[in-house]
Amino acid sequence: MRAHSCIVLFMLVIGAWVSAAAQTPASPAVAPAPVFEPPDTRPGRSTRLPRAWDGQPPLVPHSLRGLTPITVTSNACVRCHGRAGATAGPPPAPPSHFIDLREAPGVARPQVAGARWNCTACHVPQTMAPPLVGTTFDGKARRPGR
Amino acid sequence: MSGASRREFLRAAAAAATAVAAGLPVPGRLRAQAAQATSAVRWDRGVCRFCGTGCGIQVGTRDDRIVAVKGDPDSPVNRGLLCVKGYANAQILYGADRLATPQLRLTDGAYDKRGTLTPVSWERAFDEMARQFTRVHAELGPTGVAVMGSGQYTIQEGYAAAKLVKAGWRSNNLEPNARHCMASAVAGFMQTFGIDEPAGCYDDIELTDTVVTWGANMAEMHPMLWARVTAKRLADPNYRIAHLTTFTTPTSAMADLEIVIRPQTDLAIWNYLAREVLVRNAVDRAFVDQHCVFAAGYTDIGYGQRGDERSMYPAEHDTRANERVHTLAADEAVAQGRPEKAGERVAHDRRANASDHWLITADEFRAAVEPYTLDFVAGLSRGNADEPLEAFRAKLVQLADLYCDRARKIVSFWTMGFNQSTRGTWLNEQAYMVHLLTGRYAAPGNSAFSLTGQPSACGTAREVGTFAHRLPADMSVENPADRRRAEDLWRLPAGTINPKPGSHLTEMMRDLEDGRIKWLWVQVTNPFQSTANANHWVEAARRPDAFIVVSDVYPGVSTGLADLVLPSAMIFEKWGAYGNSERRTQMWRQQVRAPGDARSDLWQILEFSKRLTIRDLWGAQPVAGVAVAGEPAGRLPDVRAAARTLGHRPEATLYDVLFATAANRQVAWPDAVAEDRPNDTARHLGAMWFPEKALFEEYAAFGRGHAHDLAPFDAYFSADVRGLRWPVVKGRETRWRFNGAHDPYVTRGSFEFYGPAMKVLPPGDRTGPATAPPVSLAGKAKIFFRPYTAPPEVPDATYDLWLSTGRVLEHWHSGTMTRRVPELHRAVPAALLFMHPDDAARRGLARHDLAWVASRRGRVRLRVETQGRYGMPRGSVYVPWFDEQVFINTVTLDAMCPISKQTDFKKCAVHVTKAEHSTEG
Amino acid sequence: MQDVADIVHIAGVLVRVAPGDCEVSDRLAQQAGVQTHIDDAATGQLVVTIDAPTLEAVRAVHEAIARVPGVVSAHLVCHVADAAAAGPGRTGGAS
Repeated sequence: MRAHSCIVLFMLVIGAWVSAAAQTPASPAVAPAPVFEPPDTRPGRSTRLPRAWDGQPPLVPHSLRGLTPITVTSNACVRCHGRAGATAGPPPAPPSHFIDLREAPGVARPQVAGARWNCTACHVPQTMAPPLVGTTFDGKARRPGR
Repeated sequence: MSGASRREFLRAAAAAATAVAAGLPVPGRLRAQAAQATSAVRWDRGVCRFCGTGCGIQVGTRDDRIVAVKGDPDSPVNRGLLCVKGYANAQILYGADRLATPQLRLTDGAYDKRGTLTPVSWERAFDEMARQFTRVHAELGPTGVAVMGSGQYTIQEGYAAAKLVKAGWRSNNLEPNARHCMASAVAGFMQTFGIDEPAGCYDDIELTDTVVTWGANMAEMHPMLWARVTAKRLADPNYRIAHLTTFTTPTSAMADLEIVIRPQTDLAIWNYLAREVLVRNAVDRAFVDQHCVFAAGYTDIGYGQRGDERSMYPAEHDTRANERVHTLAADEAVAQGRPEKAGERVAHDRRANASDHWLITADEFRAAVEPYTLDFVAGLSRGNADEPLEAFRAKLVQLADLYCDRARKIVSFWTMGFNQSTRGTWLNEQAYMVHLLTGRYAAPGNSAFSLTGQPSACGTAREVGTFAHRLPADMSVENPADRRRAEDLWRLPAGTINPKPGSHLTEMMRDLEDGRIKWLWVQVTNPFQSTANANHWVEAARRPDAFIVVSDVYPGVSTGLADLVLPSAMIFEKWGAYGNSERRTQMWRQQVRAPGDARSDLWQILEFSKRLTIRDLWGAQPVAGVAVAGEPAGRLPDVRAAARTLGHRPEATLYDVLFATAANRQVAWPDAVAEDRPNDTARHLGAMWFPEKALFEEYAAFGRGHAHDLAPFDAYFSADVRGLRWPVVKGRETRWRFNGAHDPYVTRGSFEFYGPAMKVLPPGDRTGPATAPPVSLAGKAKIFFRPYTAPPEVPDATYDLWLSTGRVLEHWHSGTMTRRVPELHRAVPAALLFMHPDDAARRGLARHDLAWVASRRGRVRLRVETQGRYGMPRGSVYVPWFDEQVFINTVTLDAMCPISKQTDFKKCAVHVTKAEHSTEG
Repeated sequence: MQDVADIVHIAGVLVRVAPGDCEVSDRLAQQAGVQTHIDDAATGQLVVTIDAPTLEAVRAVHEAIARVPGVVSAHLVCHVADAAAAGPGRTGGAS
C-alpha cells in the first residue's frame, strides 16, 4: 500500500520545496489517501472487532449510517444496546454504564446513565485504512468478546 | 496462579469495587486480595495527555510497559469516564517509529544543513547545539535565539525553560504553542480582571440550569465535560443548552437552541445581548455599581499582519494592504458609530496601542450598544442563507430571553471560536460584559468559562509564564517590581532579566524568515504544521544560516525541517504535572522507561544548560530598542561582577547557577513519594536530587501568598487527592475565586476582583482617553464596550468561500500521536473537505471527489465530504488540521488579534476546484 | 467462537436491608454462588458477589437475591467475565 510510505515521501518532498521568486509555492505532489469508509453492514450483521487491551471500549463493527446524531430524545445505540443484562441479541452495555458515579454511586438504574449518553465519544466505527506506521503496543488482551 | 484462587481474587476485586461505588470502606484484607486479581498489572494515577478537560486516569503497567488505561472513578473531573482519545493514552507511546536517538544533518561526518539526518550521540548533539548557539549569540545577541515551547510541557519543563531562557540567556524569545490557543483568553482575563484564569470551576456544570456554548464544539473537543452537561440535560427538565456555531456539529444535536452564525458576528451578537439586558432592565444594578466599571479602547488596531510588503507573495497583496488602511463596510459603519461612512478608507493608526483602554460612563456604554438592534444584528449575523430570517431572529430573541431571565443561572463556554479570532481578546471581554452586567460571575452555577484547549496551557504556559512578555505567577518582564521579585527568588544580580518582551510565536516565524532569529529550539510542539500561512515558515526553516533543533517523540513536519532532531520521553516515561482548565493541578510518577536514548525534555533543558557559562551570557548584551537606566540605548548591563558578589564564579555554568542550586540539591532523590518508581531525569543527570520536585517547589514560591498558591508537591500524591484547584490555602482548594464566601484572598465585600494588573485607568469617552488623572479601580472588574469589525479577508469573487479549521474528536492537534493508534487512525484516516452539497455540485464535485482548496497563500488537495458529522451552510467549508498530508495551514492566514497575538484560524477566503489528475502537483 | 465453559462470570451486588437486620446475611449464604464480603448492619448494606457460569445464571441469582425476605433492594454494581483457567497475565475486564 502506498499509504504507509506517504509520511516518508512527504518528508522528502517538503525538503525539496523550492520557492520560485516568492510566488505562492506549489504544494508537494503527495498522492491523497483513497476513500476509506466504515463497512456498510447493518447492525446485527457484523462480527465483533478484537480489542487491543482489556477495558478498551468496544469498537463499532457496523455502519452508523442513519443512526446518528444522538440527541436528547433519540439514541439509536441505547435502543439496541441499552437493555441491562440482556443475554440474547445486541450485546448490552455493561453494568458500569447503568451507574452514575457522580450523582448516585451505589445505584444501578435500568437506563443508561446520562453521563454515558454520548456513545460515540468512546465507541467509534472503523474503516479499513491500513496503518500509516506500525505499533508495538501489546495489551495482552484475552480473546474477543466479553 | 490456579483457577480456583484466581476466582477468589476476582470475587474480592468485585466486592471491593462494589464497596467503593457504594461509599463503604474496603477492609484491608479484601483490598489486598483484590490487588492480586489484576495479575501484576500495577495501577497508578495519571492525567490524560490530551485536551484541557484534564480527566483523571489510572495507568496500568506491567513489565515496564503501559498495558491499559482506565478512567479514574475517584476523579471529580470525569468520575471514571474517558473519551476515545483518553482510552488511547497507553497506545500513544508505542508507535513503531518512536524517535529513539538524536539525529544531526551530516555530510561526511560534519554538520551540513543539506545533509542527511544521521544518528549521533547526545554528546555530539549538544556539541553542535552549543556551537551554533554561540555563533548566533555572538552575531545577534539574546534576540537571535529562540525557544518554541508548549502548553503540553509539564509544569516543571515549562519552568525550567523559562528560567533558562530569561535568567540564563537573558532572552525573552520563549513562546508556547498556547499563543495559538489561549492568548486571547489570557488577554481577556488580564484586561477585565487584572489576573488570569477562570473564577469558577467545573462544579458550575451541575449547579447551573443553562449552558451556552459559543463557537465551541464541546461534544468533540471537551467530551467528558459535555458528558456532564448531557447528564444534567437529561435529568433536569429545566436545564437548557444553546449552541452558537458557524456550522452544525455533534454539539448541535444535544442543544435545545442551535444558532448558525456568520463568521465574526459573535462580536455583534454579544452587543445585541448587552443592549437587550439594558432595554429589558435585566441589569444587576447592585453588582455593577459595587464591583464594576465601564471601559473602551481603540477600534482601528489592524489585524496583526506584517505592516509592510516584506516577504509577500504577490497574491497576498490585497489582504496585506488592509493592515494599514481598509475600506469601511456598511455594517461596520453602523456598528462602530463613527463619523466615517461606508465605503470610506479608514487608517489603522492604533496598531501600536491595541491594548490601551480607559474608563467610560454607563451612558456612553448604553449609547455604544444602541446600534445593535435585533434587526441590525439578525441581518448581519445569519449564517445559514437557507434559514428564513424570521426564524433566525426568533432564535436570537430566545438567546436574549435566556440571558435576561433573572431566575436563570448561566454558564457560557467558549474555546477557539473566540480565542482564534482577529478580535479574540474583545470576544472574551464581551462574554464577561454580559455576565458582569447581569451579576453572573464568580458564583456557583454562574460562570463565563474559558475552556482551555491543551492539557497544561493553564498549568504550564500561563501560570509559569512561558511567554515572550511574562514571568511566573502573572508577572511581566516589563514591570520593574516584577523583575526584581524574580531576580530575588532566582538569586540573580539586579538587571539580569531583559525588560523588553521577545517575539510572539508568529513573529518568531517572521523573524526566522527575515534572518533575525537564526537558532531555534522546538519542544513538545509541531509549529511548522500548526502556524498559519505555513509556506512562508517552511521556506524560512531552509535558510542556510538558520539552525533548528526539534525535540519530539515522532517524526512530523517540524522534525522533517529540523537540522537536529532530539528524541523525547513521553508522558508516564517521566515524572510530571499538568494544570487543567479549572485550575486543577494534577501529577503523575514515571511508570516506564523511555525507548532507546529518548530522554525527558526536562533532562534536555538541564543537560544543555551545562554547556554555557555566565561568562558567555551575562556580559553586556545588545537588545535593539531596550532602554536600561545607566546603559547606552539598546544594551543590557554586564552583571558578572554583581554575580560574583552573589557567589557565582564566571565559569559557573547555567546548570550550576539556575538548576543545581544549593536549595534544589537538598531535595533528595530517592524519595518515599516515588513508591519505588524510577526517575530517569535524575539518573541521566547523575543527580542525587529530585529535579521535578525541587523545581516545582522553587516555582511554587512565586505564587504562594500571591493568590496562585499551589500545595506542597507530596500533597498531590495523597491517596484521596485527585489534583487540587489553586489557590490552595491551608490545604483547601478554591472553587470560586473573587467570591467572599469561597476565596480566602477576598478581604472585603461579597466580591472582590483583586487582580492587580491594569487597575489604574484614565477616564475618557468612546473616542479616546482624556488628559484627566487616572483613577484606581482596585477590586473592580471592567465591562468593556467592543464594536463589531469585519475580518481582514472575506470571501470575494475569486476566493468565494469561508474556510474554517479545527480538530475532530478522534485526533489531537497535528496527529503525530493519535494517527499512530490503529483504532483512532481507522476511525478518521484522513482530513476531508466538509462542504454543502450544493456548493460541491456547483463546482462539479461529488462526495469523495478530489478537490483543491486554495487561498492567496497556498493550496492543498483532499477529498470532498458532503455528509458526515458536520452540516456546513452554503458558502462555508471546514478542514481539520490533524493530517500532515493535507497541510491546511499552508492555506490559512496569519492575521491575529493585535492585543493577544493569537492567530485567527477560523476565517479566511478560499476557492475550491475539482482536482483533475491524481498526480497533479 | 469462545468456549462458554472457559468463562467465569463474577458480579458485585450491593444489597440493602433494614438497618439492624442480621438475618438476611444467613439467608443469602444459602443461595448457591453467593458470597457475602461486607456486612454493615448499622447502615443496612451488604456487599455480596455472584459467581456463575453464564450471564443468564448471574441474572437468575440476582433476581433470587432480590426476592430473599428482608432484602429491600439488590443493585448489580459491577461484572467481570474471565477465562478462569488462565495463567498470569490475563486481566479481568470489568468495564
